[in-house]
Amino acid sequence: MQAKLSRLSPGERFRKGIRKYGAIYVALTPFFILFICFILIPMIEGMAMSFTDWSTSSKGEINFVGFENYANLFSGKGSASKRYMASLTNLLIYVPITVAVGLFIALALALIVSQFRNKAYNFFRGSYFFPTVLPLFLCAGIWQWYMASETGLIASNLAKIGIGTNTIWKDTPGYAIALVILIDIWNSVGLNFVIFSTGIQDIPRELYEAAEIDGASTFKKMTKITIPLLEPILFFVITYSFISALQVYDIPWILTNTTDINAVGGANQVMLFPVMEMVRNVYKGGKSALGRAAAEGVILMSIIMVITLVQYKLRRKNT
Amino acid sequence: MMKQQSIRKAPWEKTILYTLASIWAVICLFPIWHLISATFSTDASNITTTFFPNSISNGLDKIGYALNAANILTAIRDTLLYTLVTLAGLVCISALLAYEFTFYKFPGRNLLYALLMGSMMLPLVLYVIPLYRFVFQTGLSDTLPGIALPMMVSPLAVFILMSFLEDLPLSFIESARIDGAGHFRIFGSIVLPLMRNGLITVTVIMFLKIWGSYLWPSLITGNRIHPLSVAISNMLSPNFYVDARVKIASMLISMLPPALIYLFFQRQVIEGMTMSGVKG
Repeated sequence: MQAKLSRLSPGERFRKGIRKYGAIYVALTPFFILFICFILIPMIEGMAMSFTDWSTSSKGEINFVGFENYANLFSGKGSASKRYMASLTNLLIYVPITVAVGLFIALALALIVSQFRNKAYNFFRGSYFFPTVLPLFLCAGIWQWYMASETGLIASNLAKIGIGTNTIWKDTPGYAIALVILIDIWNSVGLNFVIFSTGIQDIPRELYEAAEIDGASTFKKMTKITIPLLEPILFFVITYSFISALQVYDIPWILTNTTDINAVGGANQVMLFPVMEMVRNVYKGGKSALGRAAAEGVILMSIIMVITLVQYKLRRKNT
Repeated sequence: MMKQQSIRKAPWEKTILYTLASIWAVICLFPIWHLISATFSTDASNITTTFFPNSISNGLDKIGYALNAANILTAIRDTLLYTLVTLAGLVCISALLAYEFTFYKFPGRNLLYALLMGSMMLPLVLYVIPLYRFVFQTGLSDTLPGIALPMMVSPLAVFILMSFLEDLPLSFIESARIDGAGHFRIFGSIVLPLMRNGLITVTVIMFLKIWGSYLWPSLITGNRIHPLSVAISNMLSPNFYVDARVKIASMLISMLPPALIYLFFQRQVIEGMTMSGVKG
């Protein structure tokens, strides 16, 4: 793909390189200047600064402290560490559930809707994708309204059948994470549904015809043909769902947003997640605040990289 | 596109499938209708159980209050401004990059390309803190360039544009070159028009993304620039006392731009988002 044009140009040699490539580099410059300033340097700086006592007030004197920020975070002593451990625990509960339940719903809907004709398929696809288009702050707002205890449309009806009776969802352990999961799933099912549906459409029709001749039931066709052939797509979707779930921020931050910076994550940190804790450190300031926030970023990056690598390895083994 | 699949189904089987599919459709679409009904209802009606509009005039009052007294109009103006500025820059620099990467070979190409694709896996949250400090120290925080410039760099947009360019026949460019057209001339008069669909897709999904962004705007803005996401999230906090209908009206207003874009560009939105696995 890439080399086609270069063969066309006359055989200019290195001396004429500038003339030959000058225009190309000019075109690349604006993007890469911004890229270096706003992605590359911050990325490297973040990694470096995680080993220092960088704080919001330090002007020149930033000291190298080795792994102190990391050690402090995992020491379990002090409020910053306790909060961070709470956020990791919440993340550990949140990520697998939201990914598994969200993907299950999306896959089930894709399998159901794939049975319909074109018109019905287009209608359902259009509807399911709508929440995906909405900004997360709106999703959070709509569900905050629906899940308000006593008065919320959904919460009050759930309370009647015994789910969350007399509970303030956002302040109760377990319920708080469930609330974030609910909103995240509402928002993300549409995207995964479309990806699964496209995969199902690509499965050759003949396979189903052959199975029908053998008298296979709808269920049998699903488990023996559709799901195995969707495997590569499932891998892709699982990987990015994990990565995006690890960064959960907008929804829980907005749901627990008050003027008190220590209230981020709700009472007793029931809705606290690592990215929120990172941002809280920046707002709160104090000794090594930015160094600690940078370390929290690096930890998250490592988790993301490990997950990507593991799934990449698994995938290569399978194919 | 969709293959006509097994339509010979027992009626009861069909009914169950349609019911299940419809339940989720209602869950997805009902809130739009509910926001409209709740906004356009009298103060006396219970806001959570008003499922049909019953007072247009009260709704207009609430929208007016939200826009003016609750500063949603200012927030929309500011958000629209930085969204459009970001988009303009983003589309220009990404289109140029996609053009170079797709059609030319030059020293350093592979390195730059690897850098670009590698950074696509690195989300904003990983470098947002140093980025914030950097922009803060340059004195650009709470200014239009401060908020817009970092959001202009989108490896994702380049990736999407490149996948649209890959289908282009090279003969177009070859013949233009033989006719003596320069490097940027070819870009402007041949590649850009042919990239039209890709440009629409990128513009539309990046609009949604920037319009909905919260973390970056909330960090970098202060008293001068008022992002809509920050305005709404402040309104949702318990410290902010405002009439419930005004809250709902504000949400309805901020839902309009994404909803309209989705209505008119549904195909591009779905295509663009699924190409990348990004979230709105």
